[in-house]
Parts: sequence; structure tokens; C-alpha cells
Amino acid sequence: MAHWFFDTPTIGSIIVFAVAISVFIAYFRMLRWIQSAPPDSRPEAETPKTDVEK
Amino acid sequence: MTSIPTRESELERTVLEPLRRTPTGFYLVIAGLGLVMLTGVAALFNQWYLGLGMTGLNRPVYWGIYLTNFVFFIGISHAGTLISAILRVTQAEWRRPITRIAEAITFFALILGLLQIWIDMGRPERILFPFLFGRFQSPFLWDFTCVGVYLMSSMLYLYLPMIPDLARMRDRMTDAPRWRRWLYTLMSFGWHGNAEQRRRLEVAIGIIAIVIIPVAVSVHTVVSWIFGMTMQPMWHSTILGPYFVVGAIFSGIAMLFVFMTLVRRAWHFEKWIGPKQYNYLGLLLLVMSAFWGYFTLAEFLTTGYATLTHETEVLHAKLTGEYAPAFWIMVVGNLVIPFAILVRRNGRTPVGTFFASLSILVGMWVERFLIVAPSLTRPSLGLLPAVYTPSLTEVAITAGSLALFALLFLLFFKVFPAISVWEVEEGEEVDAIQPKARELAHAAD
Repeated sequence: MAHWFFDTPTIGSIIVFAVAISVFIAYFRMLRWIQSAPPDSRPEAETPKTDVEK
Repeated sequence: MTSIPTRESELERTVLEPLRRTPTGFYLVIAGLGLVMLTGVAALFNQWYLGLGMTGLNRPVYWGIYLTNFVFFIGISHAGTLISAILRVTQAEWRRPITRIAEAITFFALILGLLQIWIDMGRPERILFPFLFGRFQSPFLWDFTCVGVYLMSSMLYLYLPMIPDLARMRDRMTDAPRWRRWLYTLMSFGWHGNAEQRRRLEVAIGIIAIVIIPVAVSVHTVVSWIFGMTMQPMWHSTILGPYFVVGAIFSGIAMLFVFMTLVRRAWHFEKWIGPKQYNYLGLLLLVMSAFWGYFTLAEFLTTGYATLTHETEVLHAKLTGEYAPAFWIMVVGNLVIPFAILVRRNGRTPVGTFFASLSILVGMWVERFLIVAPSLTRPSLGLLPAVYTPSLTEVAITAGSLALFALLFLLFFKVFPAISVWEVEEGEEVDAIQPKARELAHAAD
């Protein structure tokens, strides 16, 4: 009976959907993280140092 | 990058010029490519109406040039990964003006690659089959999963470095059509460019640059396993995975050369895409050509020495039989011409690399064809040998696909800048500061 629910195509579909959705969510959260950066009022924060300056 | 300069720099003016002005030649190129693409679309509808059988694709030769195109386009998609991700991780400064072109090639090549599978499935609704009936033991499912992840990663990797430029266009191009201003505002994703936001963007680009390298390698390895996991002669080989990856990077760089040279010439980017890019990338192409030659020799020599009946038949068909002309076109295109041009310093110029790359692209497409077709014409499971000749429908769809690829690329860079302005500006800042930093370091010593 179990193979009706857990046959190979079902597991395959679950893998495809699970990977696709988790990657999509991770990437979307990354974008929101960039967008939600708090505005910085300090004037020196507006001119970040380059690698060489550091 | 943080705050947008009040006056447009020369770089900004040159890069935004194609977005502001459309010469007649552009419309002519679009019309020509559109016509070829529409011919392909008509052939595709005809194929859907009459069935895949009208192409002649059937057992034993069930895969033809659609699968060849799929492997070819997925290979091309490695341009962005190598040039952009690897060079970004290793902080190669000369990459800056060419990364966006490479990333766009990756994204559009992937779309075209997936389109070939859809076309090869015979019916449009079958695209849902991998979701509904994919068996996890099948390399097809692995491939579908890997390519899906790669597509999302490439899209993000193209988009992230575009955000500061999109914000600049949102603020600069106030005279652009309304839909474009809306698009720039939407896509700039609330970018205000302060230090924290810039830090977060650079962290995100760094993460994706590292993640995308193994994903890209996995994609082409799994593409090779579609062949390698079967018992067809000359497919069932452990070398196929790395051989495919090397070929992918090789053809990806070649495609980048073709597009960057055309863009440089048409939009006058000579000041930013110059001798440094052509020399370094040309050397990389030469190295990849040598790698490809090494893998090809290893593949053919071991097959030839083993003298297994079915494998030898396919090998002879390639070396001296009906596929021999294609085999030697491949060798000349991938090894002889590139070496003759690129080995000398004065060959690694825009003209030299352009022709070497065209030769490689032809050679690599033929290489993909020689992997797919000959093995199927010599079946090992009791079926009679067959002959494969691509039908007119397949040729029309292939031409349409290539036209669509070029069309997507052109239209994309009609709306978005082809050079990453903020990254090039940042590079110029680094170049300006470096001598002073060296002086200070010497003084401290």
C-alpha cells in the first residue's frame, strides 16, 4: 500500500519542488536583507573605504 | 557607488548612449533575427501539429540536434560562471568591464538550453512531466534539479551587481519612456546606496559567486551523466563528466569573446574593453583549448586500445567513416585554428580572438553532435544500425534558437547597461589609489 504514496515519481517530484522552493526562498530573503539595510546618518558612512584604503 | 555623481562621467555617457539612442541598423538587425526566429517558431508549431515523428527522430536515433543544442547551450552558459564568479573570487581587476556581458550570456544560454529539452519532448504539455513523474534514480531528474538551481542562481547573479546601476538609471534617465522608468524603479529595489547597504550587497555577491561555481560544475557533470549512465557505446565513460565541464568553459569563453567584441565595436566601448581583456582571456582560451585536446586524446586513445566491438564501430565511424568530415572539422576548429591564432601575442587582439572564437563555437557544436548522434546509429541492443540526417524542421528550429539567443541578448542590453558602471568606477578608484598605497608601504619599510 505504501508504494502508492511513496513511489519513485512522488519522491522525485518532492525533491524537485523542495530544492526549487528552498533555493527561491533563500535568494528572495537575501534580496530583502539588502533592501532592509538601515539608513545611516553618519556622513563618513557614505564614503566607504576601498580594499586598498583599508 | 554610494551617492550618484552629479555630472555624468565619460564611461556613464558611453554606456548609457545605446539605451538613449536607437540607430536604424539596430532595427535592421532585430528584424533579421526576428525573421529567422519566426521561421523556427513556425517549424516548431508544425512539429507539434504533426508530431515529433515527422523529424525522423525515432529508435534507435531518438536524440539528434535538439540534444546537441541543449548540451551546446548549457556549455555556453558557463561563460558567466567562469569569467564573473571565478575572476571575482580571485579579485582579478580586469574582469570588471566584461562581467555583465558574461552573466547575461549565462542566463540566456540557460533559457535556450531548457527550451531545447521542451522542443525535444515533442508536446508542449510534457514539460510538466519531470515535476509529475520524475524518478529520483534518473539522471534527467538530477539534471532538471541542477539546471533549475543554476538558472535561479544565474538570474540572481546577473541581477545583484545591476542594482546600483539600476538606481543610477532610475535617477538619471528621467526622459526615458514611462514603462522604463517604472522598470528601473521597481528593479532598483529601494537602493539608496549607503555604507551598510553596499556592504550587504557585496556580501551577497560574494556568497553567490562562491555558490554558483560548484552549481555550474554539477550542471554540466549531470548533463554528461544523461549519456554516461547508459550502456551506449562511447557514452558509458567516467571521463565524460570532466570532459563536458572543460568543453563548457571552453565554448563559454569563446561565446563571450564573440559578444564582447561585437558590443565593443557597435557601442564604442574600446576604452574599457581593451588589450588587457583580450590578452588575458585569450590566454585562458588557449589553455582551455589544450585541456580540451588532452581530454579528447584520452577519450579516443583508451577507446581505440580497448577494441570493444560496439565501441570500435562508433570510433571508426567518427575517425574514418561517415562522421569523419565532422570529426576533422572539430579538431581543426577547436585545436588547429585557435592555436595558430592565439599562441602569438599579436593574435590575441579583438579580430584574432573573434575569429578563433567563431572557429571554436563551430568546433564545439560539432563536438556535441559527435557525442550525441554516432553512438545512437550503432545500437548495442539488437537493433539495426541506422543513419541520422537532421530534417529541415530541426535545422529551422536550431537556426531560430540561435536567432532568439542573439535577440534576447540585444534587447536586454537595449534596456540595461552592458558594462557595470559602478564596478568599473570602483576599479578606477582602486587603480588610482594603488601607487600611493605602494609608496606608503615602501616608506613604512
